[in-house]
Amino acid sequence: MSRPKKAETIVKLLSGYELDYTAITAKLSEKDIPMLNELAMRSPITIAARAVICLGWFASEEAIPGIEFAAKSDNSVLRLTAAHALSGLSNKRGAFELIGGLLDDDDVGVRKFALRTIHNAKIPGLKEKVRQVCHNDPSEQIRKLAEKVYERLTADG
Amino acid sequence: MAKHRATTAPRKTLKIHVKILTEPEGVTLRQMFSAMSKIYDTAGIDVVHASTQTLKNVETLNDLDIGQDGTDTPACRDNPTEEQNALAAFRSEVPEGEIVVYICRSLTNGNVGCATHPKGIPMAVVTATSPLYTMAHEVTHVLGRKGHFKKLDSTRLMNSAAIVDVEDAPLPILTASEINKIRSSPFLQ
Repeated sequence: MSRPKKAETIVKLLSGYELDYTAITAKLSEKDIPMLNELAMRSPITIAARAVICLGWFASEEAIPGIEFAAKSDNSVLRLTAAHALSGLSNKRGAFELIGGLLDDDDVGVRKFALRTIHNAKIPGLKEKVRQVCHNDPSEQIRKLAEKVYERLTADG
Repeated sequence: MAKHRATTAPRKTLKIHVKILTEPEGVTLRQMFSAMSKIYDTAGIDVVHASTQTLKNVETLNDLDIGQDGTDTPACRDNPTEEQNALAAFRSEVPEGEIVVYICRSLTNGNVGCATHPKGIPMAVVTATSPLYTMAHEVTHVLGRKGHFKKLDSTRLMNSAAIVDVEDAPLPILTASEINKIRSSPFLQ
């Protein structure tokens, strides 16, 4: 049984130019989720964002605190990373509300990744909210993306 | 520690065009080009910053999808994503065969760079907050050096880990085989 890894070991794993999360998460276990939550909350943005993505890969309710921290951060890149990471956690407690909240974000990149997560995770509960984005979002590109997502949700019933 | 290997082969020129979606933060364009020029000088390659353009109305490409979106296929492999293909269309007046480096706010997966590009349209993307040598690293991929040196070795440009701490650190190098490889790229003049 593997022990939880030290922060520096995980930071080293997350320090590449181009990252392969299949390989990275294969070296981690659920025991490392608390440290990933810590890194998501306390590290410089580059490592914090990568920790958030790893948390998303674990698809565990224990991963929600780090992602929630990122989703409520002042940093737009961290918020959009949370939106992206939530695609693997959409059925977990608290995730639905986080995704819905990110869809209302002031930042266009955050809204884009919230929409992509709703598309990929097929979240019918947010269909009405997506319909509103189709009509009301200030960005034409986001409205077009929302239309695609809405069509997908409608097709899926 | 690995040493720099100067080549005696005829000098070549590498022209790089920059398209900005988000202005660089921390490391400036001048610093990126200066670092790259020093490294490429040892390969007998002169790096030319050919042009800079700020792109407008591309807000949804500013946080670029480079892949591994809920799949097991790693990002930045052989096939560009739909968004990388869309970004590649913004080449206005860049001559065929010259490399464009796009500077985006962020890339999916927290990557700081990616060199995957449509066939025949040489490009790389780096983030506005990427470390000093990221542009040099990614362009080296575009020039044909695939993959990374597996063992962590910050003396090498094609190290698998991004070289973040550059204060007083020696300039990372290209190995002789890497130099041979990139000098044969069709994207050099």
